[in-house]
Amino acid sequence: MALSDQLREKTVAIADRWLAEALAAYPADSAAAFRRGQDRFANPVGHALREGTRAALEALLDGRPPSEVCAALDEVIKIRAVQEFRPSEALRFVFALKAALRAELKSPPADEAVSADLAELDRRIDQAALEAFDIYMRYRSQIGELRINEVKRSVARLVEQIDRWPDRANGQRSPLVPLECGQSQRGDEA
Amino acid sequence: MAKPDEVGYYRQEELLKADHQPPKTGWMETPVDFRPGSYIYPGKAKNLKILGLPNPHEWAVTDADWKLPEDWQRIVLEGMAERLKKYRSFKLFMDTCVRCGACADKCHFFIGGGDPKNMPVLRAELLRSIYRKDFTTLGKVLGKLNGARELTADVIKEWFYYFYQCTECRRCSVFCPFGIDTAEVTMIGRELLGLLGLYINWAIEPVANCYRFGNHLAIPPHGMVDTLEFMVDDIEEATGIRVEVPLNKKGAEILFVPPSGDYVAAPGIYTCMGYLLMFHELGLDYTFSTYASEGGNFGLFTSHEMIKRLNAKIYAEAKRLGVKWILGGECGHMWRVLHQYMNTVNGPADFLEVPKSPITGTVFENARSAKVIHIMEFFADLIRHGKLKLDPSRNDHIRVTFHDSCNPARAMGILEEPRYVIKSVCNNFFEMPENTIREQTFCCGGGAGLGTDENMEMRLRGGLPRGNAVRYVQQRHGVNQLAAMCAIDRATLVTVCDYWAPGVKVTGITELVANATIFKGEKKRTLNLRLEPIPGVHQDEDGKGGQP
Repeated sequence: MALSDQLREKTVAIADRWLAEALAAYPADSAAAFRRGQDRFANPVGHALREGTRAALEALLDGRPPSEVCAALDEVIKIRAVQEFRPSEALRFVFALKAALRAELKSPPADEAVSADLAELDRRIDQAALEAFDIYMRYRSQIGELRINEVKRSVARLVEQIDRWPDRANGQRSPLVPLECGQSQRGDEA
Repeated sequence: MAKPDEVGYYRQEELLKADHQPPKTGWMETPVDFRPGSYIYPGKAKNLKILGLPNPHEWAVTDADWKLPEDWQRIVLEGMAERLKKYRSFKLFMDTCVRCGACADKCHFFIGGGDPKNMPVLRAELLRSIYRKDFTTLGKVLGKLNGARELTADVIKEWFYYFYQCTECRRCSVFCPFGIDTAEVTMIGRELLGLLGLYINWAIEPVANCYRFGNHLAIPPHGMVDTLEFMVDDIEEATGIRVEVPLNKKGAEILFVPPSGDYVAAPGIYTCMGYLLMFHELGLDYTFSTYASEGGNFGLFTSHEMIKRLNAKIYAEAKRLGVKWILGGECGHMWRVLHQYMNTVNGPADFLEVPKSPITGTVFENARSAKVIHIMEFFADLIRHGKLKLDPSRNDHIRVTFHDSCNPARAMGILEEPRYVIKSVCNNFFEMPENTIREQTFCCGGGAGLGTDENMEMRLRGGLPRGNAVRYVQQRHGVNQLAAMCAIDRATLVTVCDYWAPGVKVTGITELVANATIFKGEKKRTLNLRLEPIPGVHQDEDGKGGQP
């Protein structure tokens, strides 16, 4: 039996195994809660993990390009980008798919063709994992931008007012006291 | 010998046995790991000094030594004993939890992040474990067996980390069979930290500002005049109407108190412009106060005493100006204070009258004690009596959903009025899923002093359940605006939407009302209050609009 057929028969089991690997990043109680809740609004992380890993696995077994495999994981990666993980921890689960596939294969592939197919699957998973880092970094950069935008937004009106003031009062300075908007790491710094 | 890329390299039976979980220690033995993006910068000493708070000092969250006072354990335990005596609710909440777990997966920070110490039950347990050790016989004797532990410096750090990862939104309390209000546990936890001089700057600086200037942003009276006058100019540009801004007007009928966020930052400023326009249209005899210029009260995020100190100005100004009653703007946590604390801490307001709409004659019996009503109650009553001339089609380009802000929804129970108002001024309104709105609404992730920027990852995790529901209605119904009647929401949900539901803008409700209202003497409206062209209305060369 061809490798893809063997694996397709086991899709549900592989997906389950992979989900367990992905959930393993969280403490046990949290992982259990994420696995348990079926409501996509009450449990968005569990829902995204379940749907994302399932869709990515299907894309992989359908022979679609690694970019499509990775695209299915976009939401999971977006969530991981705001959780308290190091990048390696956040994306470890992508590589874990390899172990999940192997664990569901009945026996070592005897013939060379199947063995080569497995190596090819590994290569595509590696490629998807690399692209996952691209997505992860895109979201991490966005978080920085959001932070900057928020600070800018909080003072935009004041800057506009100060700019407009000379038109109104013959060049006098606005009576607005500029705010201290800088935050600092230490309590004593201005 | 098989190679790693060959199946034979892996033994299925071994893989099946694999434990996916990282090695674990009990929660009591797991010290807090401060992650950048998850903690908030400490309160500056100068702000503590302004407020006369104990132990103002220089420290950083990442320091090993937080420079606690020498007898800090005694201070904390005495503080706890005092509060157990003073607040029966606190004593009850320390004693009654049976750890049923109903609250465990209801906190937005847990749902979005998965840190078990953000399960409300465990967050409360951080405090409860100390209570057991020092205030219960079983805890004293059995110690850890009874869930008790010693008060150490690490416990203080853990409190700081997790009590400032709670937005006091009270969603968990909706699900607790005993009605334990974890927000109150957080409030006490923060008070105890405060006894050691440990605050977050994003809460304590607004408090210090509010204490001196009457508002969180330290806008002095002349700055407030200036700010509002700029809005008057913008209103005139949008509508052709020049509105008056009554300030400190003695003998006015109504004192209007908005959140100060609406003075300075978009999109709140458009809501403030909406207030000015609507009151002008109604010919309301009202006044702003340059001292009671802020309904918001970060004292709520600091201590019970601070709630009282900051809120006192509202009744004081109402008395000084001689108004009859108070109208409050679109703020969130202000309404927890006004609705649940004001009468007790600053009342009785026996010099005020029960609010009565001068337009419809409606007497707001529900506000008989505090003498203050919400602007949505006021608008809903006006619309019900047909007192506003509305053209909701002006908002037809908007497909709007409504975010119930935690405090108005759960602390005040104002659920129908905002919906009634929005539906009256917008033809396209869509609700988010049932378990994400009304009493079960999800927090923005930035309330209770957490709306700063250094904890952005934390806020985005906390904002995930809300953002997820917004994106659902965006995909399903093409929703492009999220209405919220809370100034913190209007600041923080912009960011939450940018990340989780890009393309959805945030608006206040009064902004929607003002954009839909046909004002007496208005010019042809081609611009909304954001001074953006209204889609579907084109601007003629002479500046007058017309239907395409």
